[in-house]
Amino acid sequence: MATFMSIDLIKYLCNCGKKCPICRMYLCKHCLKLRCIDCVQHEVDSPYCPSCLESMPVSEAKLKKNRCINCFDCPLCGHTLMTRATSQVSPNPDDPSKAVTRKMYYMACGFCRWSTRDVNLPDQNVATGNWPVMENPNAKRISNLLENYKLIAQVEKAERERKKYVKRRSHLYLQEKYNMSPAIVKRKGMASFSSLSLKEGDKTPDDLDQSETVSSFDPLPTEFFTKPAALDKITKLTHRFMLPEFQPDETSKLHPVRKHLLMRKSLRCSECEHNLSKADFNPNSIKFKIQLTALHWIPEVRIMTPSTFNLNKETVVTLTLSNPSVFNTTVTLSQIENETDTDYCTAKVELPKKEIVLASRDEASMHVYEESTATHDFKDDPKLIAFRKGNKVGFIVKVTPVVKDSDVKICFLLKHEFRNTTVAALQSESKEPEIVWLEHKVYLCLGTV
Amino acid sequence: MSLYENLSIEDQKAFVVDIGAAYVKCGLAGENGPTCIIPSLSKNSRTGQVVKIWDYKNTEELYEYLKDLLYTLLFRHLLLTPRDKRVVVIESILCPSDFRDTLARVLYKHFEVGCVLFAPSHLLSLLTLGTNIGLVIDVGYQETLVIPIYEGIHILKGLQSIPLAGKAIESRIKSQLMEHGTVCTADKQHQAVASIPDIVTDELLEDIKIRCCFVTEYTRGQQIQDVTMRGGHANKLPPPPPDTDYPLDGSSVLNVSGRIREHSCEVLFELDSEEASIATIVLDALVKCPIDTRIALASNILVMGGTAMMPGFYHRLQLELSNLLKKPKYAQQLGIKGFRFHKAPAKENYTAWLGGALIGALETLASKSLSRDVYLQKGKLPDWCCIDSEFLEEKKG
Amino acid sequence: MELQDEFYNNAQYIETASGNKVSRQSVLCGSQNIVINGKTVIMTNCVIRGDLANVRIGRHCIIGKNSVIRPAFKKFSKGVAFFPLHIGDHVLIEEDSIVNAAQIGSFVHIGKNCVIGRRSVLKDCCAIADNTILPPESVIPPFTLYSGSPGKMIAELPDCTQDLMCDITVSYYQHFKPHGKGK
Repeated sequence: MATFMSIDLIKYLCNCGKKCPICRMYLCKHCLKLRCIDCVQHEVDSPYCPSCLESMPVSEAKLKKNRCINCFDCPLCGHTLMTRATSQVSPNPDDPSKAVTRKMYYMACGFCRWSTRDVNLPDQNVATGNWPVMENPNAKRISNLLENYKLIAQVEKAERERKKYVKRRSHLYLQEKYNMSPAIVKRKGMASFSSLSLKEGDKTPDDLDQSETVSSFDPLPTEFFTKPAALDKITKLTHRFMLPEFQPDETSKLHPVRKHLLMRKSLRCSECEHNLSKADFNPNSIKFKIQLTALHWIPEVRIMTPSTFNLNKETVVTLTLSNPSVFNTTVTLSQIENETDTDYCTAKVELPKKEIVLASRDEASMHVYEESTATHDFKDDPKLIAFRKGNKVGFIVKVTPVVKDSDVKICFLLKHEFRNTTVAALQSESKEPEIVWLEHKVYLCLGTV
Repeated sequence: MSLYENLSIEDQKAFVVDIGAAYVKCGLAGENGPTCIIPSLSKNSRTGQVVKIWDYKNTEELYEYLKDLLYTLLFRHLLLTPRDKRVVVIESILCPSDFRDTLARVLYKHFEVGCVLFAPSHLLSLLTLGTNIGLVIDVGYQETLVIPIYEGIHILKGLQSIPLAGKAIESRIKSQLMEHGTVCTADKQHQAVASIPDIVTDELLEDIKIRCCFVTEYTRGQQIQDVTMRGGHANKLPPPPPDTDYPLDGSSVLNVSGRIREHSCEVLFELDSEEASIATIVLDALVKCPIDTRIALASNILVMGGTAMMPGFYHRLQLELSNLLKKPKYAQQLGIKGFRFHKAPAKENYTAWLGGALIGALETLASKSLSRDVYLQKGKLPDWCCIDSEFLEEKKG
Repeated sequence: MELQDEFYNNAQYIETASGNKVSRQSVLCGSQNIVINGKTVIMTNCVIRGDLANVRIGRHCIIGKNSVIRPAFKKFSKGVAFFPLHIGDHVLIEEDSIVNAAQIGSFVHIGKNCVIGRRSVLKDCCAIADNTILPPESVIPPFTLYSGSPGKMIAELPDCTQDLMCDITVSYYQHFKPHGKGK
């Protein structure tokens, strides 16, 4: 539904002050509060390759720089490359008169037709895992620098440890020793970074070469002035940033891109740190180990039919409420006073004053989808209740738009019973789960005036 | 603190993020290049439009943008749980306080990171050279910023900036296209671009800049400027390079004239109303520096920023500088004979990032950065002009 | 918003014992190779190519107008072979889409005017936005939304996608009513 229907019409107010569609919200069973996707803590659970769907632990993924070693993307259009097999005839090394056929593999894009042969990458004799990896030409220099800085950092750290010890003895002594004249102290705010760079006379290992400098550069090649820009040979910025370390500027320097991993994540309540959602480890699976989506616990409000509105004229709108719980649930609706934000409230609303009892959700009948489930013996006021069907009830509200030239938006407070089955089962043997009343602010966008 | 440091050297790699005006560079500390370079865009959740991060109206809006951006970086690119992680944020020394404060709020309060080091990009880029003296020229998207750094200290007096960089080139391309650009469609030849201005999008301008334009030779540049700036006769123009046919979609072709290709980048070197170009501000920066530092700075120039990757940029900059040096204005004051340039072991657009990645891999990172506890206690970030040397430490008791 | 009633001409549709509603104007080639498990709606001008290979469609699926379901082939050195096509339960395929996949899981939503390339595999609980072109041999993992040409992942789907898709396909079926017989 998130992709099929407009879900932004009805939003629930989250505890963080945001308004979210209910399918993006969770109910923490320990705080009994709504949490939206924005205010929960996200955690990386298991990275996986979206192409071969192989999952791996986070540490392993990090080692592979979050890329799959077997799957490659096309450097032009980004689609997954297909491995193609060809047979190649080559002379037999033992007997040059006979030829042997060997299977060779190359990769091609099924969408834009780019192939590894376009950039003269030699075909491989095994299907996966043998493609050359690009080497950063500066790798050695960078690792030299890093080694060097690490040594300095160690020295610095040792010095700080010593200072700490000295400090305890006397603060005066320290000032004397390091000659901390006020001028130097003043500069320290800025200077805290100066210690990051190399210090002259610091015990630096000598094997770090100074960076070389040049005083002149090559002029532009003449073809810039004699030929039009070869658009087919120069890559676009998006192509360059697919390989940010190398940024090939010509199409002949393109290289297959290792597939970037996706991940399964788990969510935690930001207050009590209990898990709200934890997916199955297997990336193929759609099951959850823990799943506290609000849709399973909180009655969902929907609009029955679109209606047309006139300014300052009362219109009858049917809304539906569906009960996700296996118990009959009592619901009351009430006005929200002093809601003044005209972005969210542009109409007066008259709500049913009586309690509404929602019939329980019956899994079995839901699966058979019988039209005529057992008739409920609820005594409904037909002026309030439009219909009942399974766990769903249609009720009538009267809406009067008061703001000109804007969408008709209403809000109300939804108060409902909630039986905390999990916590009750853990806490005691009592058969009846505890009943708690929960309140949510609901914001609806009904249509235009 | 030290126990924490020892435990977390290897298993807790810091992540390094550089939020530029056009692109965000992000990756893990200790690596040779960034994991991703993505446009600095975010989605406005209220209007649903894609917006540039730096076009924020207020800090609340910025807070949402940054949250959205960091979420994408962390969970789509780095696949990292941010909680208690260490972060290196690379910032310009001129970064507005409300941006820094909001970014800090997002990092500490929303993502609950362990500690953050806000480090100035110019200094970090020198780390990639293994030196601490340098005249750093950052030719980015929004502006060109020159800062001399001596012995690891910014010489703030010498700081120079000018709003001439990638964006200026793009707007020059746009104005030229509007002036004399033509489009050929299947049924209509030579339709003026000005009559269909909708085709000129930001992406198109950027791509023309990247794939068609170049920084021309010094002598040709001077001839062009004689005509365009100083009112010389148009027949003094050097013969323009050939036009390029730029396909827009299946049926229409944009004609990118040789003039656009060659003249667009001139905007960087033309003297503006204040007689300044990106070359003059380099010399102006040197003039403002103490006299004993000038020779050392001039022989340690480092250029960074994506716009410096334009073909021909270095050659032109070097010639511009040495020709300016001959002018009496600078010749007497400076007393420098020539310039020497460094080449960082990185592409220009992620030089500062690489410096951040080097720092982020050190054990002392935690002691230099602001931990979440201290941030929550003090409720603010130290600025570079903050003189409280004890700021980073948590108050005892 | 609840789904609205959609009425069809009773004479146009055949309703089977298991509750399938198949338009008389759809083309089911090789119907002996087509298995439809029940309560599935196949609308007008659909083409299902059961003559190429087996096609199995689960319960509570909706195949929109003018869409084409066609098993995928693969070229081998000795010729061409077609692969059977399995579609899971609670799958919604909207109008004008062409599906050449090898497998479509359950709770999948394919938008309007899409092309699902040869031998693509769509896992459970994924979605394809309108006007998307998936190149051959794409794999779409669960809880992702793909869009564009070529299709790229643009968003994650909510954790409760399964419930949402169930609800949609079931209520779509309930709201798909013959003329004059509406309650």
